[in-house]
Amino acid sequence: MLGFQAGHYPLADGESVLDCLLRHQQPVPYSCKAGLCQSCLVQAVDCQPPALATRGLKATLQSSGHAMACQWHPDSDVCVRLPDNQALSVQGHIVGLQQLNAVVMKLVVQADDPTALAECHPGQYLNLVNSAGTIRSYSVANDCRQHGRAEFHIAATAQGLFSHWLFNAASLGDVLQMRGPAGSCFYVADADQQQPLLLVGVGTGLAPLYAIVNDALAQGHQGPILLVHGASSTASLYYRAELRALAASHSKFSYSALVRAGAADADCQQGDAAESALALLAALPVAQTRVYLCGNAAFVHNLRKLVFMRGVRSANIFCDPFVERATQSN
Amino acid sequence: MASVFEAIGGAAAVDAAVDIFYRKVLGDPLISKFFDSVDMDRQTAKQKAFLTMAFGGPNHYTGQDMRNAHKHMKLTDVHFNAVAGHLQSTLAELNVPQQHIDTIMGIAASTHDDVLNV
Repeated sequence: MLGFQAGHYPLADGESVLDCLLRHQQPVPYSCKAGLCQSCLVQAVDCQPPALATRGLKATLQSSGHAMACQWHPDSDVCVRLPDNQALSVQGHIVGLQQLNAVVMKLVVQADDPTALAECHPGQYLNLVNSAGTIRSYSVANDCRQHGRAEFHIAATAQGLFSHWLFNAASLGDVLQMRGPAGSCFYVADADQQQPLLLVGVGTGLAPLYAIVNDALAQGHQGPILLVHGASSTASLYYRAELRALAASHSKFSYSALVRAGAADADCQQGDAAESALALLAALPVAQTRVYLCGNAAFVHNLRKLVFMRGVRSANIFCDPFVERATQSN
Repeated sequence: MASVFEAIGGAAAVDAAVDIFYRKVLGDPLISKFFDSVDMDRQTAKQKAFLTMAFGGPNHYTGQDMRNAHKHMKLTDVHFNAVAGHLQSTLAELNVPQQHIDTIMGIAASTHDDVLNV
């Protein structure tokens, strides 16, 4: 039996806390259903969540009984409640909305408390909750630690509730709640600063990579930094001027764009981003190279395996696979 | 007497072995599908646990866990021997002395019935 708020719901054999609550029409937010996005956080009441359900959560959340409902398959009676949003979230206001191309919106949110995002490494992700209660994870594309001003690149998706709201209804001054940060795809300065960095992203996978590149340069990374951005056409690229300028002012940084179709120019070629990245990798000392992969999950998982098989150490591969919202399974 | 685990370098030996071993099994079409998990982190963690156990290091290994993990995979001696072969060549590649390889392969062989659920 699963206790939730004032009710009690029978758990089917092997069912997750999240699926059980959804099956009983309980209002639990969720997104990836894969134990990654942390949208479906619940708080245990007088019981201990299993380790799998707390994997990747901040220590403070773990010690206060928080767990991901989608990864919790109870084998005995448990009781959970929705987490206290006020305690978990940082409130902010939209201070920037700018379309970067036909399908990508740049959203800038200023936290009301400018120190509230001091622990968010550039490249990690935050969960954004709008006034309708829709919650989605997005990577932070800048360094928001000092001023609490976080930039996100959000793609319009066909069925996307959040992106639909963002492109059609959101306006400057709107309130957003931010939860997090989460994710382990970011630059670490205490590693070997001579290591080559190879960063490969498709679509808005550029967002965390843009943050990581800037962070690495700011922290004085010594080795070469190679960024590959893949997109379907030149029209779906963005930040080309910014990245060209960055390459012009930092000799160790290079940028190339790969498009499936359309005209090529100096730093944009027609081709496959994964193939291009593997060609770049072949010229680097693979055992020393750190690789960052961001964007749609199929692309990231496939390329992760390929770079690993070519000799990149597993500890040197950092991934941020963007997981689409799961459909309800029953 | 120090355990094989300590003699070959402890956790560092596991870290060195896991990538080489994982690359070998992923590159073997006979068994790669069993290891080609979307979640490479979890797969790597499982293999580290296995290698630590096989090296005689601290572990929470139970034969029952091994049975449950492999229950629905319809594995045969062909698969078991392939993985064992990759473990052996990983150790050889890392220049582990033959006497230690023999001990480790003996521990690995002892998991045979649990892995194949016989």
